[in-house]
Amino acid sequence: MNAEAEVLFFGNLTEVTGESSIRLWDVEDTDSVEQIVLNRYPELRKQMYLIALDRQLIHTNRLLKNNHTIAFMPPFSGG
Amino acid sequence: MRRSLFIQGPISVAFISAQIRKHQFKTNIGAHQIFLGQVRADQTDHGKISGIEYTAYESMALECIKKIKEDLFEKYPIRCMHVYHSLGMVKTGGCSLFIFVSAAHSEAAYLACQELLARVKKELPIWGKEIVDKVGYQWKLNPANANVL
Repeated sequence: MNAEAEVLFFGNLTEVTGESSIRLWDVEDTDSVEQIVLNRYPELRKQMYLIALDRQLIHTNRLLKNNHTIAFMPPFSGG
Repeated sequence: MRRSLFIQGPISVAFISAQIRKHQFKTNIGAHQIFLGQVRADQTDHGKISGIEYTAYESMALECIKKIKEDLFEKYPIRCMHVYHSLGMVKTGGCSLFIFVSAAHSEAAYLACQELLARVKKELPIWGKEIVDKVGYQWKLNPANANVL
C-alpha cells in the first residue's frame, strides 16, 4: 500500500509554490514526491533546495511506508 | 539544561545578563564562552538592510540542536551549553543568536563554542529574509552553505 505525505516548503521556496504545505496521497517514494512537486511547481527547478524526510536530511531515494513529512528547504541561513 | 531554542524577536540584553547571573551559582564552572550574533546594516545592491526576518522548520531544528549538543558534550569537557535563536523580525543592531558554553577551563569552552556556532549556521533549518530599506527584501545566504547541491 502506498503512503500519504505532507509536503512542506520553507524560506524563499514558499514564494515559488505560493503555499507552505500540500498533502499527497498514494506516493511510493521520495523521488516520486519530488517529481510530483516539480511538475506542479516547475519554477522550483531553478531553485537550490535540500529535502528532509521526517526531519532528517536525505540525499538518496527513500521508500515511504505510511504517513510522512517531506520538507523542501533552501540552503540554511540562520545566525 | 533548558530545552528551548527559539525566542520571538530580538534577544534582549536583560535576557543575556539573566543567563549569566544564573550561572554564578554553578561553582564548578571556571570559564564561560559567549557568542552574540548581531544583525548588520549591510549595504546591498538594492539598498541598506534594516533588519532580518527569521523563519525556521522548528521541529527539525529542535531535533538537530539536540544531536549537536550530544556530540559536543561527548567531545569536550564542558559543563553546560545553551543556544537561543530569534524568530520573526530583528532590526539591525539587535541580537539574533546567543550561544553560551561553560566549562571548568577556558579552552574547552572556547573550542566547543566555535564548533557549536559553525554547526548552528550550517545544520539548523533556519532562514533569514533580509529586509532592505523601503525597497523590499532579499533572502540571506550563508557563504558556507552556498553550494549545498
